[in-house]
Amino acid sequence: MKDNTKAVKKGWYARLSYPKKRGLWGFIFLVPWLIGAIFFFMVPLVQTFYYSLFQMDLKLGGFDYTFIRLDNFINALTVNTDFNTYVLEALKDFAINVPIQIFVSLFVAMLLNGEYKGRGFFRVIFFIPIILATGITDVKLATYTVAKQGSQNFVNVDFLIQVFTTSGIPQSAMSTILQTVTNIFSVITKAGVQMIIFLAGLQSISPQLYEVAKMEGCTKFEVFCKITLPMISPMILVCMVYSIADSFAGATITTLINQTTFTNGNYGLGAAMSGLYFVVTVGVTLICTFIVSKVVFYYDN
Amino acid sequence: MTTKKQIKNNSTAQRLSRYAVRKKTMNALGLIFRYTILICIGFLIITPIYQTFKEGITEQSMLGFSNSAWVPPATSMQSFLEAYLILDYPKGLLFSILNTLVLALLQTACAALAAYTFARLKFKGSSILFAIVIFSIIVPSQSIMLAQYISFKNFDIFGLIKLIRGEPLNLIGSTFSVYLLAATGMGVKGGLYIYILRQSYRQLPVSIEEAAYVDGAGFLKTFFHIVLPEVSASLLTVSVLSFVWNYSDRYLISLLMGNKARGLQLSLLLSDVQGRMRWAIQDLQSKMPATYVMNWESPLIQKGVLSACAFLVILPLIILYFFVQKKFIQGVERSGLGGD
Repeated sequence: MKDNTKAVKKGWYARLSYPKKRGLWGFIFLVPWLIGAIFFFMVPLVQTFYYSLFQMDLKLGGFDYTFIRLDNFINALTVNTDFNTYVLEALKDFAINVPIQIFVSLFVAMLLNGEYKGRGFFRVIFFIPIILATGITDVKLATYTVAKQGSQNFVNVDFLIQVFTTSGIPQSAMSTILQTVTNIFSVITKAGVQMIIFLAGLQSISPQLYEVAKMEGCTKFEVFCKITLPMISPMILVCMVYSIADSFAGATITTLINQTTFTNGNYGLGAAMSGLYFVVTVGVTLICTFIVSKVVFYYDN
Repeated sequence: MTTKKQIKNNSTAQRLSRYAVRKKTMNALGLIFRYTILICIGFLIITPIYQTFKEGITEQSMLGFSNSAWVPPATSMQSFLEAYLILDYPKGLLFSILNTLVLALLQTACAALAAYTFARLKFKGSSILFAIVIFSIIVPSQSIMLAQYISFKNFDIFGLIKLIRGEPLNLIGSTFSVYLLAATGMGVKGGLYIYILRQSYRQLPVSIEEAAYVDGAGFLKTFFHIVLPEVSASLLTVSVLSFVWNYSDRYLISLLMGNKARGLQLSLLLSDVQGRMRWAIQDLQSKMPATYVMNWESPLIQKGVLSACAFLVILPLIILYFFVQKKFIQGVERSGLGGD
């Protein structure tokens, strides 16, 4: 009798099957994000697209909306002289910067990982770029530019130019490499976040996998290709998306959009530019994610 | 018998020692390579921080007379003292750290929950929802700033609030709205944390969760006792990143928070004080006894005090990371997860 009443008291939750319980909890886990995504992200995003169809004029206590259909988009693409150039520039920057950032950050993260003296010290130092990249020190410190110049003098470029011009590497590739080397400070600054994400990824690779590889007599290169790279590949995807977002958010075109929107007060045109730029960014990200996710390794599939 | 054995032993020992020598040289070369690169890049990174510190610690009358890039001609704590007083450092620091801590915890918690659903539960439309996560990473916050501001000013849930209160809710000017954004995953770079954690969850073998279920653990118990400890490295990374970004964030706080909070957040104070350093020092002088003489006319001194301010503001982040990075290693050594 006692057992019976208990079973009744347990109620509807106990009677759910395990997959259903999982589904229920999964939904509950998602609710906070869902609220934010709808009200604080999707609504403003749709609103921005909506604004782009209007000519918006400031008036006391709000805006005057005049519906002008797609004129803002046409204006951005054909009349505004800077927009197209800046978008192309952003795309070019993306194509150069993202691979370099991922390569540099993975390389440095692997150097930082492992057993060696002074590990804690170096980890703290390599964390500083993240702080610098947040722009908190963007107060106009001359020292910051001094450091940039310092890094340029630090690497002797003339010598490098000589090496590269005689090595037969194409001119364009050479200038990219040179730019990376001379701007190593800003490359490192921008790669800080990717570095720490990779470091966490490397940390969570089970040491047993390396032990097995060692027992089987793998070379270090094989260990890197067959263990480190596949195990870190999900994080490469994250870092790529972050790098893309960072690269596009830092492009000159965002200044143009801000200027159009807030300095010139042309809210409709600014929204149209944001929208177009957003479509370009999403397109690039989806293509890259699609390609890279083909080679990403997960345990669950 | 004995000689034979000895010879055999000898040759193995020789072979072993040759192997050991080769291995040792390779290791030494690897170590030199590692240290060379780490020290070179580390030098580049530390230079601006050290220069900022140096400018702050140099005696004010000697600023600009330096003949060495590294050693200050004379040191004094005056710039740091002035910076300390101008920023109202203890108060600002306490507020910034507490405020940021709450934001970082809320963001991490929200991301840890949502990411698990995205990683493990496949339902209709889950890929579309995840695409929204990616969108929220990509869309620069400035591009939806205007619409976000307007929707915060007239916050409403499908007209419900207007129905009850008669007017939409104004979320501008309250600390609560910043927390609300963080807790709903839309704070500073909220999408990125979900993405990082989702990838870490997916990197775990499903079999450990199945094993926990077979052993009688419910969904929540499995999640909190089995899954979360396994991704502790990523959780720590996410909370550190969230802390740093919220600590240095100026955008959301200046957009949403009230005046009082704005006057206490160190990142905002720093950007505010840089434009009016001259008046800030002058103002400070009027509050101090006349025996304590300050100079505010020279732009060099203004810059020196500003450097001291900047250094004081970023110092807590560096100290924090110093303590947290030790946990990075512990977290993983504890987990004994094998590949299957």
